Amino acid sequence: MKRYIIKRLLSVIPLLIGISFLAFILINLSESDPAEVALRVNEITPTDEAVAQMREELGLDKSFIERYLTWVTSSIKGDFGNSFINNKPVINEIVQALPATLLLALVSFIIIVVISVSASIICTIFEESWIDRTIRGLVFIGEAMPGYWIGLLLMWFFSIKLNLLPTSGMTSWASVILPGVTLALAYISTYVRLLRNNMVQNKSENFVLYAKARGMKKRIILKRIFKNSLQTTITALGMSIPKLIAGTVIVENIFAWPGIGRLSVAAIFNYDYPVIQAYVFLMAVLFVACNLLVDIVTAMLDPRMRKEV
Amino acid sequence: MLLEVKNLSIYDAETKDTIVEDISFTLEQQRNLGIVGESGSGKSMTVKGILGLVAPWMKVSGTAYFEGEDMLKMKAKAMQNIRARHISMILQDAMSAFDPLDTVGKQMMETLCEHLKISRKEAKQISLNELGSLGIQEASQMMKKYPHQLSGGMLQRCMIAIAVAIKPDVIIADEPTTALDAITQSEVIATFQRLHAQKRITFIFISHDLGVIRHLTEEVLVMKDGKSVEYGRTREVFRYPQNKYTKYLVDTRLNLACSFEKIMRKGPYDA
Repeated sequence: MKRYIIKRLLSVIPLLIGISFLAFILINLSESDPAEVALRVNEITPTDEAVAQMREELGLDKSFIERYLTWVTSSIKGDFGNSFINNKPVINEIVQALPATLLLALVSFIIIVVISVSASIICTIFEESWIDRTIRGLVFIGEAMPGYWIGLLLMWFFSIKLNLLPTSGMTSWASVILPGVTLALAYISTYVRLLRNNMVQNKSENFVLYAKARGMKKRIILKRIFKNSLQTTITALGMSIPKLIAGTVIVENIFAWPGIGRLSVAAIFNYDYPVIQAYVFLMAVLFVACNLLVDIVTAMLDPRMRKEV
Repeated sequence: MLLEVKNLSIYDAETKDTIVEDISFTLEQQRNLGIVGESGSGKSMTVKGILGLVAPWMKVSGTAYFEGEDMLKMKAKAMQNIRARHISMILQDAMSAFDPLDTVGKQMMETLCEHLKISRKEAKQISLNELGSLGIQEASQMMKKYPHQLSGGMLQRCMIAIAVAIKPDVIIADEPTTALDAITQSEVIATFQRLHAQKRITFIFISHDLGVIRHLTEEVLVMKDGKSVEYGRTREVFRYPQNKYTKYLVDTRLNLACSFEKIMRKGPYDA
């Protein structure tokens, strides 16, 4: 197991180098000149002279590889440069916005896990009954509705009609409910379907038949079915964690949630390159880290995987 | 009389097929019953139907009296009790019978703790003893293994050990020898014979191997296409088969099983 973890950790390094390189290239492909942008946002007329001076200041006169290496080495130390807009260190902005996003993602994640697991178990116990059909119907509807629309509907119903929850911003603990639910809904349908179908499929496995034949209790058999159905769900769920954090962009903008999703959208509109670069890089690291974590957890859960590595 | 099955039929509501039709037999104390027939003749289905182990869309009708109670009308809880304490089953496919995510030992102990109301420590001791008496060396090592790390023969012995440890009235063995090689086969058969003689357990053997049935049973039920074609004392059925199909089975299959009989007579190692 130890060897497996070390092996997987080492394999992450080339992956991260590749990702950071790609992120850097993509942003450099953009047509607008960062130096010009930096001048414009600070309301300085971009004369040729001023642009040249800015280029030097930002290190844009150096070769592509040189700039990439400087960026990577300082990024590793946590220095992502300064924002073009307010000239503050990018890392400070991100650290400031991150807790809000993490809170939102965490709330969504809990909602997803609790609802998906309980709904799947209920569906499995009452397979093909009206309860199972109703839940699957709801899941289907949930899947068909786009997240931003659900978000607006929820806001209209709970905040405007019933006046129960705040519409936007992060003012009280209740503020997190609507964006959290909106973000979770899109995922719940996927997981209910995935987990329920896996569980129903496992119900006809031979080990379930034998567990029944040796007179085991329903609860114990259900636990075994559940555990055996988890593998694909855990893999998908693990990959959802970065998606949740990165995917808050739309929800954060609808509900004016002060997280990094909103920060990144603002940065894109302002051509604030250092912020965009840092955002892309951090998200990439997050995806890779979660992927690694998922692999290790699944390997730990399944003795057959442990043997293969 | 241990078990009395009358007019058992199983109907598949999904495919609208009658899988088992009008099967009747009785199981007497200490008189093993064999159920033979080609694959797909409804042998396994018959016993699964009695034990309530069929899919929900399989409709089971008839009666199956065990100790004066009709098992086909039992509530789930009572049926679970029967399966736990009175009628154990050894499945055909040992390789997939255990939960792949848990050690075999844990699954054995879990069963014993549940049914015998004993502590884990006692359950472990009993498991070790039973595995030992089934000829498994280093049983404690084996109990720490996961199903995929063990052979079919080993896993089958784990199933037998669970069944025997509970001391049920009846053990149903579904194709107990098909998945095993010749040497393991004869060892398993010898084990069944010993259990029958020493622990006074009555067996139902399901097999398409007439050699095994002739060797181990007193009564035999011959099935074809879900129907009973002949039922009676094993010796008589084999010597003077009344039905055409039984005659055909005895003539053809017994020839095939001759080599097996030879092994059994000489013992596995000097065959």
